[in-house]
Amino acid sequence: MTPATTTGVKGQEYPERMRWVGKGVGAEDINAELDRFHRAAGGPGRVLALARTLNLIVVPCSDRREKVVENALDRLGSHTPSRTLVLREHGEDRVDASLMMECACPAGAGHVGLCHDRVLLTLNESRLEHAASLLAPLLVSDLPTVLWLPEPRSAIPDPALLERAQYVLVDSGAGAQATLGRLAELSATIRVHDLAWGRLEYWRAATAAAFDPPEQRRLLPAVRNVELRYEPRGLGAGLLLAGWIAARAGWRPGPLERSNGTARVHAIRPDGGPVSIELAEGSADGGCGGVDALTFHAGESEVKVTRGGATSSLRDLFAEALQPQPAFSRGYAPAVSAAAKMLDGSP
Amino acid sequence: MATVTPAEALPENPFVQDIEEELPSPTSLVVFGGTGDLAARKLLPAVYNLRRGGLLPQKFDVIGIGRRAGDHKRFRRHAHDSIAEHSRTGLDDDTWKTLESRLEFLQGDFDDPKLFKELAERLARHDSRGGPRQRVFYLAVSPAFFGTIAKSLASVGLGAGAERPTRLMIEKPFGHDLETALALNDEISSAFDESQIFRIDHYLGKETVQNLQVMRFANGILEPVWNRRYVEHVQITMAEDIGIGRRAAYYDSAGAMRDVIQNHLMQLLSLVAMEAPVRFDANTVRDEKVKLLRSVRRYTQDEVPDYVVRGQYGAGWVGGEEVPAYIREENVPDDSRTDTYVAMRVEIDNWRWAGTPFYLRCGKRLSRRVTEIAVRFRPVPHLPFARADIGEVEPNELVLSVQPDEGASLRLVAKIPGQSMYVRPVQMEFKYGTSFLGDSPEAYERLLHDALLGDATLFTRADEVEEEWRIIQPILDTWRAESNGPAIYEAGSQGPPEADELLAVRGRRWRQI
Repeated sequence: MTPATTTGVKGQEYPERMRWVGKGVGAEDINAELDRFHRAAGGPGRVLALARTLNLIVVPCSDRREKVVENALDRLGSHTPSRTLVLREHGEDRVDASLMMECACPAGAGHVGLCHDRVLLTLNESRLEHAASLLAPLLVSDLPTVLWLPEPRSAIPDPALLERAQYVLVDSGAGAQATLGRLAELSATIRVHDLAWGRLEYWRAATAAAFDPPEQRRLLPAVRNVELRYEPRGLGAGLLLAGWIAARAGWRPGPLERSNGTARVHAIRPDGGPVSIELAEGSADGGCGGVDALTFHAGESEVKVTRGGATSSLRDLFAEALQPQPAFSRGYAPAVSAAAKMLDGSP
Repeated sequence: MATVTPAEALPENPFVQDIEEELPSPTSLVVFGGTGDLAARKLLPAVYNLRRGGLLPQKFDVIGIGRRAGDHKRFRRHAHDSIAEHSRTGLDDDTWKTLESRLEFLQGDFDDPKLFKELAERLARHDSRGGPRQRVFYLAVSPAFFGTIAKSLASVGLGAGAERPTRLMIEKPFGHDLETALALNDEISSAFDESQIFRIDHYLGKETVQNLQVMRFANGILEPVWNRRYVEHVQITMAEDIGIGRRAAYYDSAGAMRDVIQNHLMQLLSLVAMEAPVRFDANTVRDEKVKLLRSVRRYTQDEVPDYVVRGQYGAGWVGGEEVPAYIREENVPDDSRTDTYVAMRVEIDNWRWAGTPFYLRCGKRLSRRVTEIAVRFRPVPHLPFARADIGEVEPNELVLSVQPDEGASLRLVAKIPGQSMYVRPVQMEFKYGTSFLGDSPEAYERLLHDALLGDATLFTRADEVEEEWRIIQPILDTWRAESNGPAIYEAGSQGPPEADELLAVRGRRWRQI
């Protein structure tokens, strides 16, 4: 084992950080250092405790996504999980670890400061295939564990990680549309919190509200066509919303057909009648979940849902998605499954 | 035209099942006192944060009504500046843009019928332009106008029996005493149905207060010990370090009993002590609260001095600053006998709580700001440690902190590490910031959203208000007849020493503020 180096950044009132780097280490060494951090961070007149929120495991991703992951983690502030365990791959047959503990130390007497840990673990491919065995002793006990897949289409190095996690965090908006197929499979086995789903919350609520008045609700069985305009690069979000509409309205979607910049899905209503969903790219990019407008046509009547004021910063959305609330992913599995069906067979 | 489903077979709305936060129906929110202090500090920032969180419907307008001359542009500037200063999330330009054009201003006197005619026309125009909307009238004005505004709204068809769903939101004080509270309820209920009236006690919008019910009724370990057999006494405290500021005109005629005990602390008391509701809906919860309030013992004039202590702050030091006595505050008469502190012992005459006292305490210019509910459990019946000198064995205590740090803590006794058998109390703490990610919404956001949805669970019903007044009215009557004024306590202290005597049995003492 290579001797470890410790860097304590002292003298700052708030926040206070401690760092440690070790090469060729094991879980026991890492836990020992974390314990030492916790003891060292306290002291006369200061009471510090590890936040009791959740464990977050981040599986390896490409260099390009690593930057996104780091930025997201750095910006979480008080939304940071109790312990974040980031996995990375290297070519050496050993485990390297880099630990950082950050404590927010309130100035007032009698206040308890809060600490969060971040552990970066770098290991080779064969060790990654058994990553769950390394992580098990490093998880803070009795807290929910979330598995973040920065690249949802990539394989999970150790399937046992899925058994460790209560749910999976992804952002289908960050990947290709084909990601939806993979997420449909995944959501059949574990709860998936998709940030793209969170961004669409406004549209789901607004659609539900639009069909709440009895006169509008009576139109639903007569809907023949849905126009959905998505923002540039928002086809994935458009498909997810279309999938949700189809799943909840009981429409059976066919494959996506593309022509002249428009994508169309033909679906069958519960009464056997046809309904089409047209997805067209709009020009606006206003940060409303990737969707710009939604119109349901029922003969000469129409129900319009227009963009609203819902804006979610990544930090807020990420924090919300990290909450172990089933409500966040309610309706997601049927929606992503319907969206995946639309993509099956599309060119 | 499309063939639509006949009226008798209204289909379900299949989209509502996945909604995390229900979205209110299209709404016109009318704020009387739209340019006032309450609107600036609380209401407009709450509207903004609901919009930011995607919790407002697409069709949502705010009409601010003020007595002074103004126009849409000035009102929007006022709203912008108020949100920038008071919003918990700051002000984001994109969100502001979606709200700005929805803000309108209407000038008029609250006792001028023309104002209400014009308002009705404005609301009708909104409906014809953008489809029907529910109406929510928020009276951010002096209570002296509540009755007038309510009746004027009804006179133009905007009250009981209105064509559209309509709600009236009002803030305490709900009356100055039992008689005026009954009169106010009568006046408002002549114009609006009780189901349309949303009386705000902003304490009920706080996370810890809502969590109180979850803690009590969703944790199996608490209910078996939540009664007279295991609870020795309960202390409910709302202490403030501030004085009355510029509120002398209101405060000197109200005092701590009317300002805090009659509403906030009575509400906390009812939530701590009520029986479990069968369902968490507005009337079921409020029925239980009313039952509890009805079981609170009413004191006779002779009993009042034994159960209630009132105080008034003298000069002193708070937070390192020298502060004047209450009677030296701006616009307070030199001979004022107004109570700025009240401590009282409440007896609940029901099966669950008979013999377990609840101590309520509130005051201004105390040593620090804290609102908490402390449930002190009975001590263990026998200590099995042979050698007696083990240190002080404090009974268990559950403390629910409402502010400034929302959370809960449970005091247990633990052995001090070492060779000897010494013990000391330790705390098991739960703080919102340590266990949940994300910020809690402001109480006003929660309450406004609930009112827009028509959910009255967190609002006070007329009979609750009346029962609260019935509890404190004999005390107010006694004080009025007394020749002695309130006990004077030093600003920055724990309150008047007389309050300690209320608890001075069985080693009870107030928790340190």
